[in-house]
Amino acid sequence: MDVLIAAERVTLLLTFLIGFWLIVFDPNLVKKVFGLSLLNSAVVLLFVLEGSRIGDNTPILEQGIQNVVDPLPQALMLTAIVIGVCVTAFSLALVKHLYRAVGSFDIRLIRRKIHDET
Amino acid sequence: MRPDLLAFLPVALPLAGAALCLLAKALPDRAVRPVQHVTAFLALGLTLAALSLQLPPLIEGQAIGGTVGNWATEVGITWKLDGLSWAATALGLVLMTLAWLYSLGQGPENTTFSVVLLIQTSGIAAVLLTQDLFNFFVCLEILGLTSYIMIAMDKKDAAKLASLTYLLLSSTAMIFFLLGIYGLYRLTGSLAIPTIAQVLPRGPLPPTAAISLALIVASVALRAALLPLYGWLPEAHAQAPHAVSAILSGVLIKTPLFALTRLMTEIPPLSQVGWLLSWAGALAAVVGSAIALSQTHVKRLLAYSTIAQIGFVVSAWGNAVAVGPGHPAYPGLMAAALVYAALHALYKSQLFMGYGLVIDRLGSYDFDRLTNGLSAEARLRSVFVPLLLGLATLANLPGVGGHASKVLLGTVLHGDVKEALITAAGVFGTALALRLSQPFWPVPGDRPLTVGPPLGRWAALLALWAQGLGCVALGWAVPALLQEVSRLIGPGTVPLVEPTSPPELLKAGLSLLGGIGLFGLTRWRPVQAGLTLIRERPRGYQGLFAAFMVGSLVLALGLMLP
Amino acid sequence: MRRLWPLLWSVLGLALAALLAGPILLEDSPWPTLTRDLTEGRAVSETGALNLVSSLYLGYRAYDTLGETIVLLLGVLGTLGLVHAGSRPFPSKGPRKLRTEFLDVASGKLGPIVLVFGFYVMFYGHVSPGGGFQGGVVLASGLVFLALGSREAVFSPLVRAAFLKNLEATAFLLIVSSALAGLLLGLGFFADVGRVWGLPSVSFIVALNVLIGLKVGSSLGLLCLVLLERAR
Repeated sequence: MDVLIAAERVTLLLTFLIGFWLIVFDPNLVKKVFGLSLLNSAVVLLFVLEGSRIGDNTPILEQGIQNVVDPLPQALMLTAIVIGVCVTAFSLALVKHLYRAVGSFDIRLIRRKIHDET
Repeated sequence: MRPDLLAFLPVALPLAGAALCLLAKALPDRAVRPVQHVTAFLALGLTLAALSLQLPPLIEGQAIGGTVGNWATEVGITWKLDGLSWAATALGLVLMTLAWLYSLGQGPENTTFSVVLLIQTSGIAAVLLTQDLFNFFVCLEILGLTSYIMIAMDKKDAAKLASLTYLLLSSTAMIFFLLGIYGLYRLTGSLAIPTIAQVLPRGPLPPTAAISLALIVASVALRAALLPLYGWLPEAHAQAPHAVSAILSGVLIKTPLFALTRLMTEIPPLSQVGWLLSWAGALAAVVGSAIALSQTHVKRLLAYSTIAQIGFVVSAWGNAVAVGPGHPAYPGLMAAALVYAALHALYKSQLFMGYGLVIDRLGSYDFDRLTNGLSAEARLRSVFVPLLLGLATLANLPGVGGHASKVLLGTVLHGDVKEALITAAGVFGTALALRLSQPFWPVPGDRPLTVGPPLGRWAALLALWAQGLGCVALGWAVPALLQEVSRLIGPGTVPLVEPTSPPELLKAGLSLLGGIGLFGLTRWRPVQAGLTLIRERPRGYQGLFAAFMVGSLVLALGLMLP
Repeated sequence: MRRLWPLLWSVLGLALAALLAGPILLEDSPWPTLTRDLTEGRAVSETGALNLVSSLYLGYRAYDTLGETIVLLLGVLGTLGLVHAGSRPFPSKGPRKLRTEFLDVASGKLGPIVLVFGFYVMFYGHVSPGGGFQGGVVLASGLVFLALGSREAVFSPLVRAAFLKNLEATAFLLIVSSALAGLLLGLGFFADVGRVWGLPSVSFIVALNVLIGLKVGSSLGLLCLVLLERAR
C-alpha cells in the first residue's frame, strides 16, 4: 500500500473513531450530534476518495474526456449526505427541546431528571 | 395490468396520499382534517385493493422482479416480489390501517401524523420489495426517521429522550451499515444482492466481507430488537403515543426482519448465522418475559413482552433461514414465523391501544394506582370486552389464537432443543395477562376518578374489536393458514398443526396452571424484592452501543470460521 | 482507580469500533470498474446527461432519489413539529447588538445573487458539476442570506414560512407524480416519460433537477429559518 494512500485511510479511520467516541462517551448532547455528523462525513469521504482512484477526470463526458472516476459512490453519497443532514436537524430540534425542559445538555442529568419524574 | 406496475402500487399509492395530505395543510383550518381523513382512507383502501390484486399469480409460487425504471441491471435498482414479501406487506398494511383508525379517535392530535403514517406505509412496502443494498439503506432510514418523529409526537419529555436515544443508536448503526455497503461494493462491484451472492465465496469469508455482512445484519437486527440489541425498545414503545406504540410493536419490529430474509437466504454463509439468531430469539423469549413480569408500568410491561414475542418469531425465522429455501422444511418454518408475527401484531397493538384508553381515562401508568377500572364508567367497560380477547390470546388460552400459535411454533420446532425454551416462555404469557388484568379487578373501598376528556369516539373501539375478533379468527384458522402461507412461500413439507388434539389441550391446561402459579408467586413479598432488583437494574446509554459492537463482532466471527 | 474505569471503557469501546471499522477502511483490493465502464459507454445515449453522476441519480437510480426527497420532507416535518410544539418561554436574548449596516447590505444584497447562482447550478446540473441537490443547497443558503439581511419590518416574500411550505409540498407532489407517470404510461416506475411526447431524454433529467432543486431549497431553507427562529 502506498504511504499516501495508507495515510489517507488512517486519517479517515481516526475521524470515524473520534465521531464514534463523541456519540457514545461524551455526555454533552450537542457533542453527540456533532459526533454523528463526523461519523457521516468520514464514511462519505471514504466512498468518494476511494472511488476516485480508478480514474483521472471528473465524470462529465465533455469532448474527448476519458478515464473518469467512478460516478456511483458520488451518486450514493449525495443521498447519504442529505439523509445525514435531515437526521442531524431533527436531533438538534430534540436536543433543543430537552434543553428547554431540563436546563442542561448533560445526558446523565437529563436521564436522571426524567427518570425521577416518571 | 403490467406486473411491475401492480407491484409498485403499494409504494406509490400511500406516497401520493401523503403528498395530498401535506398539501391539504394549506387549506383553511376547518377543511384540513376532513380532507386528510378522506385522503388517508382512500390511499390505504386502494393499497389494500392493490395488494389483493397482486395475490393470484403469487399463490402459484411465481415471483416477479426486475429493475426499477427498466434500466440496466448492473447499475439500476433491482427488486423482487414473492410470496414472503407479499405476506409481510399485507400484515404491515392491515396494521397501519387499524392504527390509523384508532388515531381518528385517540391518536396524536396533529395534522402531520397522517402524512408521516402514510409515508411509513409506503416505506414498509418499499423495503420488502428491494433487492438492492443501498435502496435497503434508504428505505430503512425512511422507516427510522418516521419512527423517531412519531415517538416524539407525545407531549412528555420522556418521549423526546426516548426518541433521541433511539435516533443516536440507530443512526450510528446505519452508518456502520454504510460501511458494510462500502466493503461489499469494493469486493464485488455491485449493489444488487443476487450479484453479490454470486461473487462472494461459499465457505468461510475473508475478514472484510465477513465484517461487512455482519455490520449489515446487526444494523437490521437492531431495528428488529433481537437479543442483545433490544435496549432501546422499552423506553421507545412505552413513551410513544398509544397508536404509535401499536405501530412500533406490531409492524416496525417485524418488517426489517422479513426484509432481511432476502439477504440471508441468497448469501450461503449468512444462512449458517441463522442458527445463532434463532438461539438469540429463544433466549429473548425467556429473558423478555421475565423482565416484563417485573414491571409496574403498563406500557413497559407490554414493551418487554414484545421483545419476548419477537424472540418467538425469530426462533422459527432463524431456523428457516438456516435450512435455506431449498430445504423442504423452509416454507413451513417461515410461514409459522409469519403467522405468529401476524397474531402478535394483532393482539399486541390491541393491548397497546386499549390500555392506552384506560391509561388516558384513569390518569396513571402504574399498576399500583390503576384499580377498579370496571366500576369507573360504562365506556371503560365497553373497552374491556374486546380487550379480553387480546388478553386471552396473550394468556395462551385455547380458542382465541394464543394457544394455537404456541402449538404452531412447537410443531415446526419439534425436536429442537429450543422447543423447551419456547414452552417455558409460554407459561409467562398467562402470568403477564393476569398482571395486565389488574386494573380491572374490583378492590373494595376504592372509587376511581376519571380524568381528561371522555372516550366518545367510535373509531378507536372499532379498531379494538377488529383486532380482537381478528385474533379469534386467526386462532381458529392456524392449521389452514399454515398450509396456505407455506404454499405462498414455496414447495415443501408442512407439518400438521392440531391445537385441538387432546395432548395439546392437556399441555395448554398445564401451561395455564403454571402461569397462574407464577402469577401467584409474584404476589409473594420475597419474590417481589427480586423482581424489583430486575426492574431497577442499571441500564446505561453506553450499554446499547456495546451490545451492538459485540453483536457485530460475534456475527463476523461466525462468518469467518468454517 | 475509580477514575480509571471510564477511561478503560472508552478504550475498550474504541478498540471494538476499530476492530470493526478498521479492516473495512484499510481494505486494499482493487476498486471495481464495472459501473464506471458501463456508464462511460451508455449513460449519455440512454439518459442524455453528460454528467455521469446525474445520469445515475436521476436515471438509473432515480428511485433512491425519490427516497431521499422523502427523507428531506420528513426531516422538515419532524423539526417543524418539534419547534412549534414546545412553546416554552425561552430566555430573551436582549437587543440585537450585532446587527449592523454591513450585515444588512452584504447579506441582504447578496441574497438574490446567490439565488441566481443556485438556479444556474440546478439547471446546468446535467452538463457541469452540480444538479438538483447542490443547487438546492445553494438556494437554501441564498434564502438564509435574505432572512439575515432583512430588518424586522421588511421581509422578502421568499422567506415566509407559508410560502416555503407550499413550495415544498407542491414540488414533492410533482416529483411523486413524475414517478407515478412512468408507472401509468406503462414504462415502469420512474422511467423517462418525456419519450412519450418525443422530447429528448435530457429534458426529463432537467425537469427532475429543477423540481429536486426547488424541493431541497425550500426544505433546507425552511429548516434553517425555523431553527434560527427567523421564520415568519
